[in-house]
Amino acid sequence: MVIPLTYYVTCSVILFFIGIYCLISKRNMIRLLMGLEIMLNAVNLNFIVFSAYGVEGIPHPLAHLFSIIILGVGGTTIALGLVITLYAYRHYETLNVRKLKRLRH
Amino acid sequence: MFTLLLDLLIVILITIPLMGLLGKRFGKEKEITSAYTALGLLSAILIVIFYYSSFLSYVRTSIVVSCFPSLEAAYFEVSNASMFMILLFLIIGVTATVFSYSERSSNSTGFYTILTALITGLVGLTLSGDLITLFLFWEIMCLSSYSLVAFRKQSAESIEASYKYLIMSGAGTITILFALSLIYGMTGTLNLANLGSIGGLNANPFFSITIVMLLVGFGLQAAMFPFHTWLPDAHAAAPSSVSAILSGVVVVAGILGLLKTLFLIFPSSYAIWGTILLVFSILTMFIGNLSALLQDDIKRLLAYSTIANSGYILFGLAIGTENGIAGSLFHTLNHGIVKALLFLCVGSIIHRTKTRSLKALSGIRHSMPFTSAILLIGLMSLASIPPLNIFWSELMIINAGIMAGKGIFSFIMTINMILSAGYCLRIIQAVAIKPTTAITKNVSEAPRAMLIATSILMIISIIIGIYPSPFHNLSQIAASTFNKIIL
Repeated sequence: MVIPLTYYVTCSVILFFIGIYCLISKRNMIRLLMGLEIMLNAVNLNFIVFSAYGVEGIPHPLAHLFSIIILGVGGTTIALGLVITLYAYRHYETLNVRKLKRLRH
Repeated sequence: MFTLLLDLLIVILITIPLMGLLGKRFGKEKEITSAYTALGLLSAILIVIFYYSSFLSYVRTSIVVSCFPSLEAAYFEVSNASMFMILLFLIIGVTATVFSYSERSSNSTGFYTILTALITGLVGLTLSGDLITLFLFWEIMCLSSYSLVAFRKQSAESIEASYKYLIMSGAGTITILFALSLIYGMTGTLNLANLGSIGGLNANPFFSITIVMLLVGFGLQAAMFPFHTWLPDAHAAAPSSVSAILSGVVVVAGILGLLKTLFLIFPSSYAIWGTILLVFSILTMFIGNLSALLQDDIKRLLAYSTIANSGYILFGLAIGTENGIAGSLFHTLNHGIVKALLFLCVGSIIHRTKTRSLKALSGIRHSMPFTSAILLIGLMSLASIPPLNIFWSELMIINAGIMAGKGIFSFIMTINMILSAGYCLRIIQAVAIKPTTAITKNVSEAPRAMLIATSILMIISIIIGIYPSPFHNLSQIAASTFNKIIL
């Protein structure tokens, strides 16, 4: 029995919104980066599922290639984010993102 | 391997650290790296002018380049529109490089490497002919702009602005990716030429979600209204030469993304996204101009003015006719040059006085006459005074709006132009009319490299202002590349 495509897409949309919720509600700077990572995985899931459902039984290689590129690029973004978080911690001595408000005008 | 231009830029990008190593041995790191970067970008400009000269003529041409031609391969499309934009990117890149020679004191190798990466990302984004390549170069551009904003890591302001930019822009990029995955699911390909020829997408249930996600993602980079909050922080906190590139050029990346996706893939559903874009472009103008009127920090003021100008460009796109797109592209060129000019001038003033407050900078023209004169020309152009360049492109957008039957929105844009003249006059008053303060009395004229960089941009601005017709024609030809909408 083949699971319908809609189930997978619903799952990835839910994952995407979990990531958005994390970005909106959480305060820890590292958790926000994890929220970005959850959203990225929703996209990867989407690509892999669509590649399998295009032609029955033959996964399309384009989507696999793209999701590997996305993993690499996402890793780079998170690494840069962690570097900036480290410097922010040295300046503010907290990881609470609500305390970063020297720029509020 | 890719195209000649992109190959050259990538080679320069890789060899700058080696040059830095060489420079450290001779104790002249800054001189060697900055000269190498400037020469590299200049040779890229020469390649555009001589090798790709047929794309700068008034004949519509376009070629598709690929190493392994198949449906899955990476494609590059060289067309009039891409060359038009690339010329702008490279000119601003060269002037920012020349300018930052005087601004930098340490770690110039890292700075110039990331700066060249930013320009390379933008050029690749413009040339990309499929959505994977577009995403890859988009991400190169985004990563290098986050790190350039955070470049002065000893200042808490830069780090905070960069973190905010990274989180917001990262979320925007992932939203674009989600839309790309839905496009892939609907059609099975990510090649722009193929996607353009596939019709009947609007029957699919994911169709409108895709359009909204693309608008959110690219609109975030283009500082569209609800997502503009990162821009004033990031652009004000960056070093001045970086602010010039971010404000003049990186905002354009979002516009290019919209042009490449909405205009080439979804031209038949213009009724949906055209309306959304129209409403939000008007809101963007108002937010940018009204916030700029209230600022005292001069760099934040210019950053808010960037938001307003991004609103004008989005309005030109929302009109959807060929004239509207041409006006947008022409305004992109003019705004890029003038905003880079203003940020560089302000940067050289800040370099001498070490303050960003407009009140403290009053009467600066007595001690820095040349910089102030160039700044005043830039401000008059931003206030859309006729013989200077921004006036022509704004006129084109307003004209296109009236011709497309959107006269009421053109009228609203005119009101916005008056508001923008308001804050330009405020700076002009502070710089030229008010008496000197204790801070501005004892400063000297800007270093020579800064003056050279700003005067190049000033001369380009005046040339376009006095003789706009070749640039106008080029933007018309470039716009015809994107014009697939049948109203």
